[in-house]
Amino acid sequence: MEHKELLETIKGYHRDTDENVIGVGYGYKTVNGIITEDLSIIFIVKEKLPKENLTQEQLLPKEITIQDQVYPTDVVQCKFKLLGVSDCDPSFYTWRTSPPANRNEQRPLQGGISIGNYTNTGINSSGYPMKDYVGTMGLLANDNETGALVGLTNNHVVIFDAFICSERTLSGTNSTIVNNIKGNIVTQPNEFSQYGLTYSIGTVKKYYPLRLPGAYPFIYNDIDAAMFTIDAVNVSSSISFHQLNLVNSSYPWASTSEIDNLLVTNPLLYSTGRTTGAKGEGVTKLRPTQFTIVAVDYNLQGTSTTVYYQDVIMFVATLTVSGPITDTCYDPISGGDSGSALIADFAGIKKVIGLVFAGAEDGTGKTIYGVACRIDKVAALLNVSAWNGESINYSNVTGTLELDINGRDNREYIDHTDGHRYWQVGLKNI
Amino acid sequence: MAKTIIRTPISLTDPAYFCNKSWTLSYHVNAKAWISFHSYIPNFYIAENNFFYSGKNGCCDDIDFLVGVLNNNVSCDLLGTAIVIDTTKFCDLSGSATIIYASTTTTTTTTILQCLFDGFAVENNDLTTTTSTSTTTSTTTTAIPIIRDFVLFYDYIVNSIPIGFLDSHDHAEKAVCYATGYCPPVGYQGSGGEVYQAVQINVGYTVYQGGFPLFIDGFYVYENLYVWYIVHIVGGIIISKDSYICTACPDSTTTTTTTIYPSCTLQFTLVDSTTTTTTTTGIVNNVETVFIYIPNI
Repeated sequence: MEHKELLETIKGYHRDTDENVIGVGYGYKTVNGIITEDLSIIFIVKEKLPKENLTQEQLLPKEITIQDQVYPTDVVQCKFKLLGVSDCDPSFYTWRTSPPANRNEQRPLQGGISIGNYTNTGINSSGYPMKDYVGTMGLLANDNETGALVGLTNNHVVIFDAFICSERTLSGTNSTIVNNIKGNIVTQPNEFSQYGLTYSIGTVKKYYPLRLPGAYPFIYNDIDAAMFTIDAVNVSSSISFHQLNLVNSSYPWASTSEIDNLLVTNPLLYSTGRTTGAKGEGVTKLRPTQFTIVAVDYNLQGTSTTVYYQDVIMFVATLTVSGPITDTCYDPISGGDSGSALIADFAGIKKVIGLVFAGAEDGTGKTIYGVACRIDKVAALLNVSAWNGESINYSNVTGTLELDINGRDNREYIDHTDGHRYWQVGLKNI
Repeated sequence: MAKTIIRTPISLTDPAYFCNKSWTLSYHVNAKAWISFHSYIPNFYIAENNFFYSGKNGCCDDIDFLVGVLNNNVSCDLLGTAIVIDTTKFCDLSGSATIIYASTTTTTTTTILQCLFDGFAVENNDLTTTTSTSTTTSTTTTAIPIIRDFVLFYDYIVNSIPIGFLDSHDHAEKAVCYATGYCPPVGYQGSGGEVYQAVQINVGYTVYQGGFPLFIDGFYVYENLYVWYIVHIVGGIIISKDSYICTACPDSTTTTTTTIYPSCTLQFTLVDSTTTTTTTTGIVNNVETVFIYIPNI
């Protein structure tokens, strides 16, 4: 069964199942706490309910046959959240007592370091100003539209409110958000005692807007991604393509087929982020478990609002290097790691496969899964590609051009007759 | 072991297979002509002696307000079909918009509601007098121009030395940069600011202070919703206005000109469940979606 066909099948189940089912995916089935290597259709539920409490329509099948192939089903209880902690080997948790270098000022820049939007004071749905938020710059990349060097992260790390303008109401909180990104300064590390414009590294450039699910058939989002300009003074053409405290090398981006086959090749994964530092090269490993549909809450005009993502990668931390995963560790990822690059080892070549943007808690409130959007989709939708140190351009923020379109526009970008692609950044009153 | 076979019923409403392209034409019996086009299929109709209304309740999640502009100098003379975008908010409206100058309603009010619409609208100028008549009642209401207070800043002081009145756009830009923290705040004491009055801070409007349009010609800056604007006032009248975003303390300056559209007053028909029509005045907050392009060095 091809990846695409499986995705369409699980989408159908996502539409048709009870709202207690918050995600449907395919991946390795868990039996008695062991993540096997048997592919299954996985239903992620808010709460596991006794069979006697379910109606006939709410009962999930024990197996599903797709094109003559029988897949067992699995039911997992967890809740997705934007990254906000059984522990395994203590070396995996040194970050809890000793902040990793990822939170320090790092010049030249490298992937996996702490960043924040210092100039946006908008209050998000959690009640905090954006400027007090921190996440991770996953990596440096090439904006294909201009050939300029940019930093890649999640939209929820640097964008106050990432919903497309057509989804906004014209009343209520933050109805006009022209300052959503325009002129917003990204600083590094934006940590205690190291914050302010002195630590500026660039300006928010564009993001891929979020869309609400709507009614049946649902609208799914693919990526949680944004980019910002990079000031040349902070870049080294021999270092800046590295991932902090992971092996020093360039990291090409995986192809669509390499990512589609992730559960076949079952590679070891790596990541380095603001909060938990470098992961995957020690005793504790990161491993993929499934592709899935997930529901995640975002800030829409000050209100926490649920959107759906499709085809996202879920992974766990484990001491099991290969074969069925007989143990899993808490905190494969943690709050502040949002935006980190997720890297896979394909036969000795390490390639970026995604941007980490969420985690999934088990029933006890501890994080057991990391969730990443696919890098091939980031590349296609944001029109961006890998940068490995080659000669590149830089952005001229003071030369920013603005295009104002009457009404609430539904387009992510506009290809103007002047030859430039303009990306939407928000609404303003006129 | 039981197997589940996947069968997917195809519904007429499934957009993967079917596309609903239906629409509506209005036919005028007397004129014997098709007189209007509507992008929706009505689900209610209201007939009166002289008018026939059609509309669609619960329709408006993805359809924007659609009006055409006949005259942008005098009032909001509007033509076309109006559909309120969000019926859960302040003005729970549905149905068809009426032309501003002709009212055959049984009740006329001038309650100003903060109805938020999308779409195109034009300047209504300062509100003056609105007269509405009907076959049974006649009501004349004078609408008073809404005079708002604005805090305009007119100078700034650095190292105890007054830089002086904002006599150029460059000065005004630098004042914004001081105000937003981009220029080094060495000895910066802030911008002088006073409260002034105007109907709108828009081109063509008169700005008053203490009831008199006695103004020093020059540039003024003010902030609204985190956006800073630079206003050029000559003879008490605003002759230009543009937004300015400071991204760095300017060594040299560039001017960004933004087209300012006035806010607008529309009149529209409110249709309630008892088919009584009421003319109500609403203030339209028009919006623009902003797109940007950041070039290379």
